[in-house]
Amino acid sequence: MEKFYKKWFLPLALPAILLFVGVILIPFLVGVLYSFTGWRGAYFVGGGKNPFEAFVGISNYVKALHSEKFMNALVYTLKYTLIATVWINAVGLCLALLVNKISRGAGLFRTVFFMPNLLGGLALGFIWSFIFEIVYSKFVFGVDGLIHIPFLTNMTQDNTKALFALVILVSWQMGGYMMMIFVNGLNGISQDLYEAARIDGANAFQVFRNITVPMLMPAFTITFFLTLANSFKLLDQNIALTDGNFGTRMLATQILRTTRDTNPPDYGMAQAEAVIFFVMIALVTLLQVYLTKRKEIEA
Amino acid sequence: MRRYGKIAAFLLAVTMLAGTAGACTNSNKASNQTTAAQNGTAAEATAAATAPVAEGEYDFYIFNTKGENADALQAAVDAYSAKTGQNIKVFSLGSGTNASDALNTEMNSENMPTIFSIMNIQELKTWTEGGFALDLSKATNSDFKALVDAIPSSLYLTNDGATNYGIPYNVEGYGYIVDTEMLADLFGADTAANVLKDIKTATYTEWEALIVAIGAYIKDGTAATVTLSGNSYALAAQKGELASKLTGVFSTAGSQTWTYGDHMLNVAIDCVFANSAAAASATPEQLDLLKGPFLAYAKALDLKTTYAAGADGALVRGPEFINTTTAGYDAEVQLFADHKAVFMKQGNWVYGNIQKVNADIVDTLTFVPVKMPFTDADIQVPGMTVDSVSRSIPVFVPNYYAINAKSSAEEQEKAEAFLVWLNTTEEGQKFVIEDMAFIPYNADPAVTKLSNSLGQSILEYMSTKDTVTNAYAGAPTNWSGLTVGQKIMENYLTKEAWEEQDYQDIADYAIAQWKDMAAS
Amino acid sequence: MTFANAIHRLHPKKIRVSTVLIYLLLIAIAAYTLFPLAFLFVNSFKGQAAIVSSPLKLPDIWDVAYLENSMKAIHFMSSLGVTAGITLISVFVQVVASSLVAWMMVRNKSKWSFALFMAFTAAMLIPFQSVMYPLISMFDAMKLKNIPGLIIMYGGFGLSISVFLYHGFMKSVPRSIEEAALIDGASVFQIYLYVVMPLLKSTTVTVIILNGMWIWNDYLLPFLVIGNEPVKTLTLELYYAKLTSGQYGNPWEMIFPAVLISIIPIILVFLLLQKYIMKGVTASAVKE
Repeated sequence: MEKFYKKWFLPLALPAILLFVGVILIPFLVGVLYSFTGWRGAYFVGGGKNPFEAFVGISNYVKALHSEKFMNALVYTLKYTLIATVWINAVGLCLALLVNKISRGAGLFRTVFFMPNLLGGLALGFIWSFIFEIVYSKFVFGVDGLIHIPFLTNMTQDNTKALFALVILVSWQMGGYMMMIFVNGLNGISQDLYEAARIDGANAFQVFRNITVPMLMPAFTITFFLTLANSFKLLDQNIALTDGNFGTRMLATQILRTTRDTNPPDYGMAQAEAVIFFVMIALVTLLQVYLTKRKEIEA
Repeated sequence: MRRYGKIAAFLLAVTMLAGTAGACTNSNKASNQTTAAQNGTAAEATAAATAPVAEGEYDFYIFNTKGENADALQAAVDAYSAKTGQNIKVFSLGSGTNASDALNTEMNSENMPTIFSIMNIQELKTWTEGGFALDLSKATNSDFKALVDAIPSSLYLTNDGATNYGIPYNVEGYGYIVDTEMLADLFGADTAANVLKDIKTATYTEWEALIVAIGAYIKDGTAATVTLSGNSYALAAQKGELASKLTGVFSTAGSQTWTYGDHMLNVAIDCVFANSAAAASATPEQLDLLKGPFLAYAKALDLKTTYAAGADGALVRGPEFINTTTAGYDAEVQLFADHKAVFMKQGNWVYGNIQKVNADIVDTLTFVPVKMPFTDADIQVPGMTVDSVSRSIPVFVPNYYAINAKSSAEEQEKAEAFLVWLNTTEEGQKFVIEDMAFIPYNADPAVTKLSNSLGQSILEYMSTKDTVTNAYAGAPTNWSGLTVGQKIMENYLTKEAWEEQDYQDIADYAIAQWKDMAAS
Repeated sequence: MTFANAIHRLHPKKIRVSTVLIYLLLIAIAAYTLFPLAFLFVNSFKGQAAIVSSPLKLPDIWDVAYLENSMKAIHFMSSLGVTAGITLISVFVQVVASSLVAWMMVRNKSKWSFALFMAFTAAMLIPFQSVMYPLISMFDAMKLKNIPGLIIMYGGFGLSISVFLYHGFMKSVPRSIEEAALIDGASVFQIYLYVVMPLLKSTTVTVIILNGMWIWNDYLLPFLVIGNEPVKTLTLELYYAKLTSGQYGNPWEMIFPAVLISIIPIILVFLLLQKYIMKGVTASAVKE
């Protein structure tokens, strides 16, 4: 059997490997090369198309790490990631558990919870800005609203509040996405295990803790990884909601805006920032994947 | 399962067909399609290495970042193609980060655009450093050279004041837009024309008094008398139909930092620097001269934002003032179009937006200059006086056509011929004036008449030479709207009352940031 | 004894309170989830002035003209076909490539497969901006800066999450079945198509949905790769329609209807695919 798998490993893996190398690996390595040069997007400093003539060593990296804007974006992103990862996973799991407990209309509810994922860009920005600026700030949580909660008013105009506003927005959008993965995971848990537990007289909480959670570890690996990575990389929602105003600029937005903040646009430094960003997030998430994969149980 | 499989396969086939049919019109189709995934990279690479560099199927390529004229430009190009038999590729998009990425991508490719857009002196830096922007005095086409020589030096796209790299798309201008019908309602139909004339030449003190008087009028109907350019006018005793709708004097877009951080701030900068090239080469001592104008700016902004109009009543400075949804560009236009405000500080580009929501108002619109409390000591530009500034509106070129120096000589020649056609022939100008709704930069105010009321108003200012430039474009990148404007939005537009210290802080911050950003 | 057990004892078969509570909770959450989308829906029938002045109000007349104009402005039929074609083919490529490699990686637990897995995972973390330029330059040089090239790019970018999912849920396919099939004389492709993939139906549907959805709504990559071609996807059409409406401001009366009709196909597909996300599909297969 082993021989069979060994024989077919390379041929079957080849399409994926080719795609990976061509679309991701090579451009990334070229990008890393560019981060050591004075790259301006359409040319290299000195006017040429040859990166090696415009070598600047690690100065792009030094500039990036010394950049106050970059550091602020980093701290803000870390804070957001911490809160968002926990909350979005919790929301996704709750939705999956709830939806799996009903027999009729499960598909409909799943569709409804997944729909937010379809909305993006301009429309998303307008709608949620409106929700925070008008619906929350005036009708629901405002001074004349249903219940007055100052923290939930004018959320897009304050550094800290915007953090939670983003969490609310992204959990609305991604909750359904994570739910899908958890549903997939829940479906893979053999009913035999639940039956055995029931026979043994375990209550709902014990079942959850000792069967559901461990069997969901593959799903947790994925969802934690995804939420960590997506929180770190958050871009569109950040721009749509606050556009980085009031000090709410996150890392991905910062990297994007670096070329706009400098003149001529310093694409070399933006690349350096992107590489630093990648290294940081890779360390964190790969560690997480390693730890959670070890807890997974084979079927 | 099998049935679903069949349906899925059928749907897949249909949409693949549709998608492929669409893709077939794409002239750059690669030979492999579905199998490209597996052996694409290796095979295509070898194929490209051995094949000769393919000539595009077009004569030259225009990359246009003034997107709103996309359809009109395409129409112009089609007409020109029909005339000359040339095949021209046009790609239009709006300005923004994605635009520069798209342009960079094209510049990196085999198919470089021969005509591309450069907005201002700051963008010019990149393209001259990279060697892409052609010094227009080195152009080969003789008609084109004549066109270039005819451009007045105040409209140059230049970093040293002498070398010109661009042909202007058009000119645009901004100021306080006012509906003459509203003035008629406020002051009486027979005096409205004189009121308008006198507002244009009024001093700041008179202007301020006017604003306060209208503010009181809106609030409780107090019909005061105001003095404008020395003449007295009385507000109508009974509020007319339009005046009754007013909730404030100014329609503002608090969330759009460019409206007060770029355009309004520019008026103050124009007092010290004649144009963007002068601003770009400013020394720290020269920058200190901006203190007075910036203080005046802060006061004028204070006045404007204190008398702002809201949807249901006056809009007071506070959190609501900077909401993107209710204090954005579209909301600003809507309020003005609904007659809830008397003045709106915007440019002639807003014509289409207003027309869409209230077509009745567009024919009676005109510009009034942006007034600020300057003193003689504030004015540093030779030939300028407090009076002349207070009568002028900024008129500037928002975007330029540039020629790609790295394109082949043949492409450059053809591109130059096209630009000559567009800017000098009657046929070409028809596209510029009517289809693109632009004010041609080389318009002769005595001869040209525009159907667009705002464009016509700007032409009138141009004819009496009551214009200033957009010197702010020479300030460090992102200094104006994105730094100073941002600071004002986050710290001051939410503050209900401004004091003298606030004016000082705003002015000091602006100058300090300019020095800081210019140095780095 | 827990609350749930007690209730179950008292009301054995009929409507359980816990189920009612769950339904109520789900409905509440659904309402919260749908509100922004209802906002989108309501404003797709209003004109610019009505949207800007009173976004929350229901339209006085439910004017379908805005939907019609939007559809015309974004050339709905052709851009729908283009987007659907690109999405379907890209997703197909992703599903095939990623399931094959994940299967092999899980069956060959070696240092190589672990490294490969880490590589695929790490690829998900690379910010798009850092590969954007070299990628497009490369593809342009290979004459692939067009729709087929775009599909290849999607194939590559979608690999990470797909491999991740397949790798994670490959555990629900026991080796024993594959062994049995091999002994019965099945070829590797038969094992893949008739043994492995059917057991991973749920995961495949998840992969299709997750990938299909972001490709459908993706803007930046099509913009850079095929933006200047006459053939456009839905998102690109919307961008150009907005562009020509003016230098500043947003034509909401066109944007909202356009967004609404763009997401309807995906919602329909999603509803249809729900049948495949069934409880116990994998579990029952294991029993045999």
